[in-house]
Amino acid sequence: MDKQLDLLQGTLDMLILKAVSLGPLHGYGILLRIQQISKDRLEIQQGSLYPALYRLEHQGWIASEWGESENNRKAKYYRLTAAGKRRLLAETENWNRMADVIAGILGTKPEEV
Amino acid sequence: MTLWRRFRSWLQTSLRRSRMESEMDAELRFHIETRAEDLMLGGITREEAMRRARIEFGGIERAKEECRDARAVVLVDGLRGDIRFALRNLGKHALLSAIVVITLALGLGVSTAVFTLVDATALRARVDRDPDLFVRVYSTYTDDPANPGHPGSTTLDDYRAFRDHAQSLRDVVAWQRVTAPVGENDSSETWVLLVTCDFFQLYPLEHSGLGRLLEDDDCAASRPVVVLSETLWRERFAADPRVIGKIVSFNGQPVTVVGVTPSEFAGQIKGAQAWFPYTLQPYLKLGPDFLKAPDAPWLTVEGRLSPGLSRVSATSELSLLARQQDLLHPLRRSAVTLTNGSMLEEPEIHGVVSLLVALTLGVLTFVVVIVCANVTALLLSRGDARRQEIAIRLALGATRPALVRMLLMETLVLASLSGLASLYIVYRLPGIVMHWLVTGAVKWPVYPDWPVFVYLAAITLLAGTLAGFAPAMESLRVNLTDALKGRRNLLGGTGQEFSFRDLLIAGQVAASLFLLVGAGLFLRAHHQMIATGPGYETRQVLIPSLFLRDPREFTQSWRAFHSILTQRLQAVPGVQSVAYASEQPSNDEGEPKSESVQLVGQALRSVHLNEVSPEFFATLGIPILGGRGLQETDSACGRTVCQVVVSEEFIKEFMPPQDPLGMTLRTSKGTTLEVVGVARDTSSALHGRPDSPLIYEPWAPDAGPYAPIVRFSGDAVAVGRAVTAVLRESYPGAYLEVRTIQSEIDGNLNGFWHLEVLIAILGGVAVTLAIIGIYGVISFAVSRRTQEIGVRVALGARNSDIYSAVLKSNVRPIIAGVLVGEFLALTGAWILSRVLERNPFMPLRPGDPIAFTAVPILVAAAALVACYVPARRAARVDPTVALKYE
Repeated sequence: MDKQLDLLQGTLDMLILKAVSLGPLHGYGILLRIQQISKDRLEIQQGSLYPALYRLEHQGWIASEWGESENNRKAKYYRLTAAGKRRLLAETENWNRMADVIAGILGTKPEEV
Repeated sequence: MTLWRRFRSWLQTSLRRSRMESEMDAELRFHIETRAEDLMLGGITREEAMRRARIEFGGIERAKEECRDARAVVLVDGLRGDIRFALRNLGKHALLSAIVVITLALGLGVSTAVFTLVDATALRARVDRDPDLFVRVYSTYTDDPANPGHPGSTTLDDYRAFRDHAQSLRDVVAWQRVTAPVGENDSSETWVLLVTCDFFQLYPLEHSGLGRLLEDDDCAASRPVVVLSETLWRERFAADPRVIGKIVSFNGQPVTVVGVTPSEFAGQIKGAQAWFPYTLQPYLKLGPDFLKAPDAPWLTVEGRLSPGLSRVSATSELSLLARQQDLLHPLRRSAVTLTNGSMLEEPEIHGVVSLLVALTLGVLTFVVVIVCANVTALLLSRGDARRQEIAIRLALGATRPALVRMLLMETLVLASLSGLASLYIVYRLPGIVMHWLVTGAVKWPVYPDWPVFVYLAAITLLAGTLAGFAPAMESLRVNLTDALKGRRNLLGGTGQEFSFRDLLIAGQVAASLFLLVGAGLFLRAHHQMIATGPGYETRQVLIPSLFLRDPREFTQSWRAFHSILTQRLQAVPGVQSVAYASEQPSNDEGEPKSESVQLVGQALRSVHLNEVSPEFFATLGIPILGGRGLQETDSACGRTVCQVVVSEEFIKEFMPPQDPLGMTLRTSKGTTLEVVGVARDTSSALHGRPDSPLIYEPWAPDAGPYAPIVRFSGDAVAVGRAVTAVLRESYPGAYLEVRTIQSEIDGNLNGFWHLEVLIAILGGVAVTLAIIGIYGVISFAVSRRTQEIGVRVALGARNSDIYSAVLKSNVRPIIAGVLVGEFLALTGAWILSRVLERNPFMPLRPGDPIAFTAVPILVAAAALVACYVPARRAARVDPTVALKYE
């Protein structure tokens, strides 16, 4: 297994939005989903997950409601709102452009300067 | 949309705080337990799994805090905490907090209360309904081209012309205020109003009392009816519910009670206890019969502007009407002035009232400035003293905005507490002061002036907030390491630079000194007014007012009336001499007579005139400085040359080229006056300057009634009572009032005296505040230096060294304050004396040595005591205790 990467600053919000865009999830589920998608290559501080969730909900990008979990317990499920969908698209595009630029810069060879 | 959602989320979480907490708990617990279950799949025990899950999660409380933060709950939460903390902290510094609260409450409350009084008394018309439309009409009549006359009452004819023809005014009413004894043996002065019968349309009743009000027929038919005030009804008629229809006696005349007004009736603003139809004036024997003298000005005319019309247009309309009236009175010229009915706009006293209003407001400004400086100084000191606490909080991770919020909250809590306390003062004080200030019958409703209170509160709050904010910002700049170690500038306060704190101390000393010197000057002026007197005998002279309805019921001629009156008065034991005059001395009812005279080759000038009997000068003790007094043989001034005596001021004003004795004057009516004597100046107004130029003419005992002046020896009360008895017996039914000149003067000075006391009280409040403030500031400064003092004591400093150290650091600002205050007071007194030259109403010595030396000594001494108490505490510092702080 590859060494786990620390999360880049500011990317947790984006990952949460992506995770819940695939279907409503509770907090622990979001954690598992991100780790699953990233094939366990990302290390997420569990303690920082919830403040992020609260922040996103406060901003209106995700909404929450209480529901039944797979192990028959009450859990708070988060889902993406319409505003959240737009936000996710914008963030994704932004990230892709940024990644391109950074990759371009990092990939520059001496003779190209 | 998003903004709204965020706000809603914030609101919900703020309001449902506990629900959010429990949900957050449940959510995190679910997370950890589910994680633990997953870990248990790896074959470890439940306890171990839980332990690992918690470790993986990290700080749960911190996560919760961050969640709350994310929802901005922390703001509300923090505010609640701040308030709680502020209250706890104020309790801890109870003395300081109490000082701040008392200062603010006194400053705000007293200033607003006094302004409320000034406003209600002088700046507004005293009516309840539509004060903006209210007007009072002043008529000026003159038949003398050189004398413009004085704005005052209106004649009956003119009032009727205004009422019937003026389009610009509605509810034009007229009234005259008089005193009349109620029932038998009533010695008190009860103010009653003679009113036109539509009076109650201008002064409407909120709700009706007993019976009815006056009706038009009451005036038209001169029905002997009266409407009583509730006060009079309760005091004199035992609140008898069947009083309506009863016959009661006013000034000895029977009248029928038709109504009682409710006690809150606004018409009470005139201080009246009863209202009569004005046509009863002759019937009630309240002075000469004005109904038979339609040219005599005796009515105060008031009304309301018609909708959409201004006072200017009403003035021009009334002036036109008055000029038409003039056509009926050859020689008379009249002018009309309209005011808003406030005391400030009363033409005769406008100058004095505006001066007094300006003085009062000036004093108030100073009080507010002192309050602001005081609170600022105290809060600054405290902020300074809290550096260490702030540093600890910063070191423990408090954010700076949170700290600023906390410090501001303390100031706000202080301000709110003071606000509550001052509200009480604002609500209660004006009534109390009014009750005390206005001893006579004139009373009017006083309501707290909330706009002013809000204004002052806003200013003070702003000052307080800035005062709280400055130390807050200051303390955030602390050097953490130094502050945490409790290291302070050991020489703090003894440095050479003039700190902001010193400036505040100096400012408070200066402002309070200024106020006290002002109060001192006023007190001295009053003392001087009493001490110097008007220049004639006041205590041993009676000036009876005697109005007969028709003296001819008693004698054939006026001359006989005077000689019989003289005989009767001289028969009273103790009476020494009796004189007559057209103007009684110091009796300022009515306007003094005046006449235009000229020296040959000079312009006509208006001078005051008094027609006096030969005994006048001896009776009053006014010395004749040159020539002779008047004699029996001097005939009244008619067509021929007549002999007159003039006052010194007259000579000064006219500056005749030759010896004034023997010079002749011509009046505008063509009479020639020969000056045969010069009398010493009198100073009836008591403001330290002689009365304006005056001519004493021989009286004309045949022409009409003159006012008696009675010189007596012995007890004023006994002789006064005897004179009253003789006059009452000789002239039953006459209006009669017997008093000494002194009691008249005392009555006039009374209002002035109260005003001075009011200013003195304000000055006292200001000084008290300043002293409290200085004490607070220095106390704090000393408590901050406890350590330093401990070190000094440990190193062998003696008590006296400590005293001088504390005093030395505060003496400079006090001295500076005294100097600045003296300078301000001198300048202020000089300006005031210049203003008084134009509006004389009191003698002022701008360089009064007592006020300018005693007051600074007093203030400096008080300030030093404020230093001494903390210094004594400092000197008692136990070095071991003080050093433990290190």
